[in-house]
Amino acid sequence: MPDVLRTIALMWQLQTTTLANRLIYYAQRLPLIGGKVSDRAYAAVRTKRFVGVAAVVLLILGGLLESFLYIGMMLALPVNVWADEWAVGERRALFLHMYFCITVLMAAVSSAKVLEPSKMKYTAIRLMRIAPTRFMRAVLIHRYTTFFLYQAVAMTVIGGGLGITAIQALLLVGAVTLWRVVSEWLHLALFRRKGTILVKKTGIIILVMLIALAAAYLPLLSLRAMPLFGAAVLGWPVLLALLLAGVVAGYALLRKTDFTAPVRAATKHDDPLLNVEQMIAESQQRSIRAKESDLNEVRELPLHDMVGRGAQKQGYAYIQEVFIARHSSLIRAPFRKRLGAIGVIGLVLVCVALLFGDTLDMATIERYVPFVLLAMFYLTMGDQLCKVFFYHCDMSMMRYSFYRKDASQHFRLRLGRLLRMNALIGTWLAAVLSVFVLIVSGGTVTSLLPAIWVLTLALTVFFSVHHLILYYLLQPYTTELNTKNPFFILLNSIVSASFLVTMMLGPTPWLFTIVVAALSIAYGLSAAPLVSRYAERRFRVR
Amino acid sequence: MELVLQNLTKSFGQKDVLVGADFRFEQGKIYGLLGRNGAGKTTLFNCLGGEMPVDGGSMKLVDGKRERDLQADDVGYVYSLPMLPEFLTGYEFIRFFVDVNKAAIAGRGDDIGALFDMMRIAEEDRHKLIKQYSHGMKNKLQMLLFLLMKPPVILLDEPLTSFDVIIALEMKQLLREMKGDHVLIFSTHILQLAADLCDELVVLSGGKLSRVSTELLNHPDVEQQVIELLSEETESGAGTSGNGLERSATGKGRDDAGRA
Repeated sequence: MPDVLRTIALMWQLQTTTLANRLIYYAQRLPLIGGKVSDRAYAAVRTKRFVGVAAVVLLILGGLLESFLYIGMMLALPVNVWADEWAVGERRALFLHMYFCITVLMAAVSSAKVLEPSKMKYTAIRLMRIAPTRFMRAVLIHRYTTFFLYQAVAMTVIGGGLGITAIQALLLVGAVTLWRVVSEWLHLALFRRKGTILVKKTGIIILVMLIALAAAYLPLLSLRAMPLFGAAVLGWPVLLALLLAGVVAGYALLRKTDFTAPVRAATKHDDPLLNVEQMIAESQQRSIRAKESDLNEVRELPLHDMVGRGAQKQGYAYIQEVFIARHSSLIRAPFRKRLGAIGVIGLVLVCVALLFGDTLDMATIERYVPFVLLAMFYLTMGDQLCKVFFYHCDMSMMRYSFYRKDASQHFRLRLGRLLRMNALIGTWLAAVLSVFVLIVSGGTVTSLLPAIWVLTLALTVFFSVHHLILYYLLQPYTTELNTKNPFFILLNSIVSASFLVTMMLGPTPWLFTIVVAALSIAYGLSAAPLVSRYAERRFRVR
Repeated sequence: MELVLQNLTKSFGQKDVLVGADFRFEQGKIYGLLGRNGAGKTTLFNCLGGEMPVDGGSMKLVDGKRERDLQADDVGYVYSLPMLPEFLTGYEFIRFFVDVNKAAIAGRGDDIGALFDMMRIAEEDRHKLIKQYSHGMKNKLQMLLFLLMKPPVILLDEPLTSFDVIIALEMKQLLREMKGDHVLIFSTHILQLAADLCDELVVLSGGKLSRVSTELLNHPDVEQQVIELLSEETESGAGTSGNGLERSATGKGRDDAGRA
C-alpha cells in the first residue's frame, strides 16, 4: 500500500507541476501583472512550490466545482426550472432518474480509467517507467476516492433541496461509486475476452450518450408517458447489490489484476486521443478542407476577359464571387445541410404535435421559445463561413497591408452574403415552427406566430454580425485553426451564459423577442464603425 | 533615397532581439542580411514591414533633405513561404490587385500581360490556379506586385533557397533589374548566393547590425571568413571593428576597415 500512496503522491506532483507551469504561462499574459512574471519563474523552485500549493487547492476546488456543476446545473437546475409544477416526490424521482441515466448508464460505458488514453498515463508509464499495475491501482484508488468525496458533498448539499437526506446521499453516491468500479472491471473483462477497447469506439459511445441523455431529459418535456425507470432502479435492493458487487470488483482490481497489457494498449505513442489539441485542430481542418472538384469551377469562369459570373464585379466583390463559386462544398453544401436539418426538425415537431397534441398547450410551447436562440446559434452559418474565409483566403491575404486597410470593404460584402444565407435559414426555421404551432393551436393564429418570425429574423442579424465582427476584431484562429484568443473565448462564453440565463428566466415570447431585436439592432449598427476603426490593426494572422 | 534605422530595440519578454540596431540602407543596392538561426532576421523584417511594432528607435526614409517615418505601405515583403490566395489564377489575382490598388498603382497596371512577360511567366501559366504554381512561380508573382506598387523598400526572406538553378538565375537577374528603384534587402543562409548577388552584406548579431567590409566581400575565402565572424560575434556578444565588421551608427563616417 505505501507503494500505491507514493504513486498517488507522484501523480499529484506531476499534475501540480503541469498546472503550475500553465499558471505561470498564463500569468505572463495578464495585462498588468504579466510583465512582472519572468521566464525564470519556471526555474524558481520556491515560487513553484508556492504555485504548486495553489495548484493543489485549485485541483481540489476544481474537482468539487465539477461535481457541483454536474449535479447542480445538469440535474437539479432543469428539474427546478422545467418541472417546478411537479410535486416534490415526483421531482426527486426525476432527479434520481436523470442521475441514473447519466452517471450510472452513460458514464459506465463512456468513461473508464483502465483503458482510457491520457497524457498522464503515457508520461508515467512510457516515460517515467512506473510499473503499470502499481500505477493503475493508484489511479483507481485516487479516482474513486475523489469521485466519492466530491459527489457526496455535492449530492448532500444539492439533494437536500429535493428531500434527499445526508445518509441517503452518502449511500447513493457510495453505491454509484462502487458500480463505476464494477464497470472498470467490465471494461477490462471485455478487453481480455475480445481485445475491444470500448472507450475508443466513438460511434458506440456517441450512440449510448444520445440514448442516455434522451432518456434522462425527455421526461422534462411534459411527456409524462415516459417512465422514470432510473428512480425505480435506484431502490434499496439494487443499491445494496451494487455495493456488494463493487467491493468484489474492487478487490479483484486492486489485488488480483495485472494491468500491463491493457495499459500498454492505451498508451500507444501514435494514439490521437493523447494529443487532444492536435486531434481537434485536425478535425476542424477536415471540416473546412476544400475539395479539388470545387476548384475545377475555374473552368466555368472564362479567364482571359473575365466575362463570367464575377465579371460584372470588381475588386473585393469579384474575389468574393469567385471564392464562393470555388468553395461550394464548404459553403453551399453546409448551407443545404442546415436547411435539411431544419426540415427534419420540422417533421419531428409535426409528429410530436400529432401524437402528443392533447398534452401540449400554447403555454408549454411558449416556455420553450428561448430554445429558438439555441437553434439559431447552431444553425446559422457565421462560424463555418469565418473559418472557411480564414483558412482558404484571409490567412494569406492578411499579410498584405492593403487588404487589412480595406477590411471595412470586405467586411460589408461578407456581412451581406452571411445575412442573406442566415435569413434563408431563419425564414425556413420560422416557417417550420409556425406549422408546429398552428397544428397545436388547432389552426388558430396566435400572437406567438409573429413573435417567432420577428425573433428568428432578429437572431439572423445577431448571429451574422456576432461571428463576423468577432472574426474581424479579434481574429481568433491560428494557422492550425486552434482558437487561442482568450477574449474570443470569454466573449463567446458570455453569450452562451446569457443563453442559459435567458432559458432559466423563461421570459414571455414577446419580451424575449423585443430584447433580442433591440440587441441585434444595436449590434448591427455598431459593427461598421467598430470594424473601420479597429480591424486594420487586429485583422491579422496570430 | 535611403532607409535609415536608428537605435532599434525589440524584446520578447526577457529576450532582447534587437538592442539598438543602426543602419543606413541605400537605394540601388542589394543588401544580404546574414545571421545565425534565432539572431532576429525575421523579427527585423517583421518590424520593418509593420507586422509587429518596435519597442524603440526609428525607421525613416530619407530623400535628400526630406525624411519621413517608414510606413507599412512603403515595404514590399516576399515571404520564404509565399502568401497568395490559392483559389485564384495568377491573372485573376493581379487583376484584383490592380482593381483595389488603382490609386497607388497609377497607370502601371494597364498592361498586365507585359508585366507577366517581364516576370517570365508563360502565357498558359498565367491562367492556372495559384495552388498549382511552383514555389518559384509564386515568388515571381509576389515580385510582380512590386513592379506595380513600386514600394521604396523590398524585403525578401530566404527568397532563393528552394529554386532550381534556372529560376534562381532568373530571380537574380530580376533583382538586379529592379534594384535601381528600391532598397532591396534579403535574408539568406547561403553565403555563396549573398556574396554573388549582393552589393553589401549586413550581419545581424547580438541584436545589432554590422556591415561586412567590401574588401571582405571580394575575398575568395568569404564564406569561411563570415563563419568565423559570426562565431566570434556570438562568443564576444557584440562585434567590434577589426574583425571585418563595421558597426557605425547610421553608416555615416565609416571607413572600410576590411581587415579580414
